[in-house]
Amino acid sequence: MRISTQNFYATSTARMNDLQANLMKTQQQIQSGMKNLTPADDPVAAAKALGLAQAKSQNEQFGVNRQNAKDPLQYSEVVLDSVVSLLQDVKDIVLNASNGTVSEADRKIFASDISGRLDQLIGLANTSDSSGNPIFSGFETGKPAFTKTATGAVYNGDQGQRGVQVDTSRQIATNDAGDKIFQANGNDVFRTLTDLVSMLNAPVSTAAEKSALTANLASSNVKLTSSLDNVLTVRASIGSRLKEIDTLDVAGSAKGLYLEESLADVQGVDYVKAVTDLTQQKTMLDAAQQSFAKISGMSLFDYMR
Amino acid sequence: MSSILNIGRTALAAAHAGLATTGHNIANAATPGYSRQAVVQSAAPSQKNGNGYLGGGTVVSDVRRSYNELLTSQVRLAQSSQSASTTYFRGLSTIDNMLGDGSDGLSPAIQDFFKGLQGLSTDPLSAASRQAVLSSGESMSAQFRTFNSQLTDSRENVNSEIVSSVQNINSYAKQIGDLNESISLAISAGQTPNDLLDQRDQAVLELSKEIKVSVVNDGQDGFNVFIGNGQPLVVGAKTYVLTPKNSESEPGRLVVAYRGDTKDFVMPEESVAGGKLGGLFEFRAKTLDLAQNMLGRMAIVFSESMNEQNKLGLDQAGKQGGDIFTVGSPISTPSAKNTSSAIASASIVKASDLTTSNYKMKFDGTNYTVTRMSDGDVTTLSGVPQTIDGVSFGIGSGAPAAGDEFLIQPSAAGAEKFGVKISDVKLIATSAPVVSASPVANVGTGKISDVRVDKTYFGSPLSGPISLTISGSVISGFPDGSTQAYTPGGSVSYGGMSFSIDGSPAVGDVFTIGPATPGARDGRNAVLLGGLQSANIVGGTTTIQGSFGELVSNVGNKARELSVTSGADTKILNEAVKTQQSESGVNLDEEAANLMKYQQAYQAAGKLMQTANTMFDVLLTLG
Repeated sequence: MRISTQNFYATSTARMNDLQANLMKTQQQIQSGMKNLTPADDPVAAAKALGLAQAKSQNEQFGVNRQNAKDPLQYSEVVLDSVVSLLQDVKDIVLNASNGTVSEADRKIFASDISGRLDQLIGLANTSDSSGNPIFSGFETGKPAFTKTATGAVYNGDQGQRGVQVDTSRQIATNDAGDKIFQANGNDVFRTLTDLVSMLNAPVSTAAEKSALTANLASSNVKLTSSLDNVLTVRASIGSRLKEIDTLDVAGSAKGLYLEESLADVQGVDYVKAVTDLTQQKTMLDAAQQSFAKISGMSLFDYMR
Repeated sequence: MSSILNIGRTALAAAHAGLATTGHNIANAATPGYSRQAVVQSAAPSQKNGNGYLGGGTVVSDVRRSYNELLTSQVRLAQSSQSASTTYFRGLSTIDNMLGDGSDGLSPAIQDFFKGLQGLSTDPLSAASRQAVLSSGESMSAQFRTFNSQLTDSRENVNSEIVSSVQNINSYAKQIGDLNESISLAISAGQTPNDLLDQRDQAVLELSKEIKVSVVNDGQDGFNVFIGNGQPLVVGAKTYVLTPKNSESEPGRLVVAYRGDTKDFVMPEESVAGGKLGGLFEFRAKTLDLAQNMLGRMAIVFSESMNEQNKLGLDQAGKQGGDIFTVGSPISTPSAKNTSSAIASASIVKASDLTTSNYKMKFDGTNYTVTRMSDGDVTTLSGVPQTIDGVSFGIGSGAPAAGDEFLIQPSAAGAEKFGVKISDVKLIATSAPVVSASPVANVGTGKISDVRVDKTYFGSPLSGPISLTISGSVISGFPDGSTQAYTPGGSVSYGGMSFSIDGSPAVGDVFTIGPATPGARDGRNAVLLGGLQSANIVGGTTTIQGSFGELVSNVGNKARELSVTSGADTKILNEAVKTQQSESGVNLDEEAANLMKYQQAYQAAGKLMQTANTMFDVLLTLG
């Protein structure tokens, strides 16, 4: 078969261009660390990488959300701990006041003590977070959660649950409504304490008054126990929510690792293969260039005198 | 003597011609389209002599070019295919490269926006969190707009390449026509003008790079060249002209028209195949249009879902939320050949039903039909306006005449005008409008769930709280006096609100639902806005990111396919050229050998003449 001179040059040049392009592409892969420089290199991998990147981003965001959810929950837990020990103290006072040998002066001291505790309790119920918003008033802001009244305290908030998305399909409430903590199950703990104060401040002289006082103190104690149980129940619920967040954190961080690895798998360049390819392609280009130089130098005109 | 001299003379002339032809070949070794020429010698007529026929030397009967019609036409066809697939691939590569921007592309921008929303939902009163959402919304919509303008630039490039391609076609066609005439004259003068023939073949080959042609060799009348569905471009010396024209249905979109004797005929896009022009049309129709519509649809769905959800909440001032985003509206274009001045209207009513197709609306005098251009599905409208695929089609102004046509592009301009509408951060509706409560005074264990609202709620919102009571299996207490059946955990709806009551409510227990306080620390609607990231809002089947993934996949797959096809076409072209060149190409070594051959022949012929001269000298010395 005849070889036209022009065709020989054209074919050789095209071949060397191809080899150079391949070499450049491998070099770019090594430099960028990415196996696929454009979606055309591997369309399936490109779409998969997009999905993995989004899942990774969402996973990270849920991790941030969980942190944001932990803070108010932990704070509530701390405050409720104080409430629990306060109520236990009040129960002790009531027990002491139920003793038959208590004098009028003693009772007045107990009353004043409980009055102080009542103010303290209202203070705890009105705890605000770092932005100045009360933590136990649901969605309401701008007013404290409770306002003291003559008979106890009135709740100014609502039952709104501030939920945080902690996982793809899981929301966790980061707050608890004040009325459900302090005024549920028919026992309003502020009212109970207010009543105790008036009970202990009232003069007791007759036998009837004495037995009435004892009975009232006993029933107040029952109410206090019920209120204490209620607070403990809410605190337990906060505890289990925090535990769930921890569990989700563990799963989330494992998921994050898995997604990173998958992403690297799909997108990342295999350096060993790339460097091997680079060496091979360089050798091929070398060979092509040398053979071209040799063959193109051969001409019959060189031998004609 | 004179006859020997004569023979020598013919030999000299032949060798001379051979040398000249060899020199011509050497000089044109690199000329594109050149076919090597060879001198054809034949023996001159012989003289009858007493002893037999004595030869009379040689005659150069022809200078013939090595040319094979079949091989040349194979190269031509291969060239058309290769130009088409390479042009299509080149266009695709630009878009493919745009999409390959992993770390600063559209996808991370969308993710950042949703991250901002999630952050806002945990701290809805924070001005900083609100600003973060608006800022990331701006960056994200800017990315959409940038990508869209790159697609529009591609479209402009296609238009300008069409113009230059048509110019080339016209100029080559004229060359072929002129060459036809010159060759015809030369042939009637009795000789084959090899170089002119080569030039004409080369012109046809260059033409094939622009558009696929079929050539009929009419002998003396020359090459007749046909394009498209058989339209003649060159017939003998006559040339027809092509011109770029605005499409009748869509100004700004160039198509190619054929200048007939009296008017211009627009060539349908599908009939222009092969060559650069065919590649451009294929790129535009199959990839560019689709990509722009897909991007537009993403923007429209994104904007509508966000806006609708924002409208289900309350902003920081306690008012119903409004639109957060703006987006481009559907484009409606009347055809240039419409006789009336009516304009069709199109508006998006349900973004989740949108397709990526364009539509043609036709009026035949009595009925309207709407054709979905992606699959040709035709719907006859029972009246206007009517909604198809989430788009409401109607007549905006004027009265259409029979035969009028309108092009509707619902999503083409979506991304162009996608942007954040609000600048006041308080307008993000993070709160929900309604709060429910199970008062602590209740004796039973009944609990009311959170209340969700739909669009109709704000038509008649709650002005004050309502108290619901349950007795037996009946819920009562609704403001209009109605009652509803109660099942524990069963869904209850009223006035655009839906909720459920669970547990065991006691007789006399009350459940309240009331309007929310303005400026409340409530991020319920922000959570719902964030939840749109995972909702299947595009076409009812995919998420926003999923839809983007489809676009990337689509373009990537097509680019890969074209990369393989254009690679294969290039190989086929190279093979065809190699085979044709092996027949017609010049090999310098071969010419070097020919040079020596004719040089020796010339020397021998000269020697012959010298011998004849010496013989004459002998004769002269005899006398």
